[in-house]
Amino acid sequence: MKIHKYSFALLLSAFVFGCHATPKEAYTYDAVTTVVNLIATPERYFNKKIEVDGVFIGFHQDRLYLSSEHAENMISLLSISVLDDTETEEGSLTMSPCSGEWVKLWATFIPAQQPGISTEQGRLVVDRAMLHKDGKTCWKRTEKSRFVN
Amino acid sequence: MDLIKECGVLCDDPAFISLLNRARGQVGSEVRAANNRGANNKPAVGHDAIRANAPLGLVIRKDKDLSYKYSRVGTNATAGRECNGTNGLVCNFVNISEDNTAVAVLVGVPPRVRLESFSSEHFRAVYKKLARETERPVFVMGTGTNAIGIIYVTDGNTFTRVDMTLKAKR
Repeated sequence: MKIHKYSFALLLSAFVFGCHATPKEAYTYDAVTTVVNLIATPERYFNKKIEVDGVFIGFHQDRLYLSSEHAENMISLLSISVLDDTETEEGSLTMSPCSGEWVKLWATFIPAQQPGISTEQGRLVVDRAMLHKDGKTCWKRTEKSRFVN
Repeated sequence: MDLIKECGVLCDDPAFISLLNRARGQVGSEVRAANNRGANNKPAVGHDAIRANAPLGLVIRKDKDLSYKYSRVGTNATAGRECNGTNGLVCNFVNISEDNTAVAVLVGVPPRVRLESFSSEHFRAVYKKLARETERPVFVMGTGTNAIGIIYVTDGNTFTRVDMTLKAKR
């Protein structure tokens, strides 16, 4: 009888607390990589979900730079193009607090139109971005991208 | 007439100025179309997510018959390359610096880049670098609210506004 009491209490607490606890967002990604890897061996990451760190600039052209020095001088050779296809400008990654910051991006790396020939080898279609300075999510995709299957 | 310093004898040539003004129209319309948004702020006709928020450019060439022509508008000119002919499927990319017929590069920056941005040292550095890489004068034109109709030229060292001069030369 005691066992039944405990199990009932456990079940009740699981129900009460389980319903109120914020479900932790589950992200499944294929690789954790760097801007340098994406530039050097883009084909390894095509159509994969990746995690990558860098400085995101959304002012002149949406790009993820290797470091703040590269971002300040807009050295695009050491950066990856970010494809921001959000519907409204207000909700876009470009206009978000992520711009100009050291961020972690969870994204899909899609190949450019002509990989190996085009200037851009691939582009990042971002799902979520997190600021490194405070660990807060600065942007999150709300609608599915038409560039990712 | 400080402009002459940046683009040399090129800007003294009325044929070049005339073609540059036509090319400005082409680049401007393509940049505006790629960034086109309707009244509801949703992407409208011509909006292109890949080209939006990116500078577009073209190369101005002088042919053997001494007439000026401009290439297709694209994202490659801003990286110092151009699509020099195509087999129908893929471009034959060449570095602008290696193309003897290329005389200048024209870049249209997205509408978000306002007039104030042209004063930014970082912004200027991007195009000064492009001018040094391509070894050609780079004309940078605005398409945004207060930058529309504004054009600057850089030879890799200087960055000078030239729109009024060009208007006078039309």
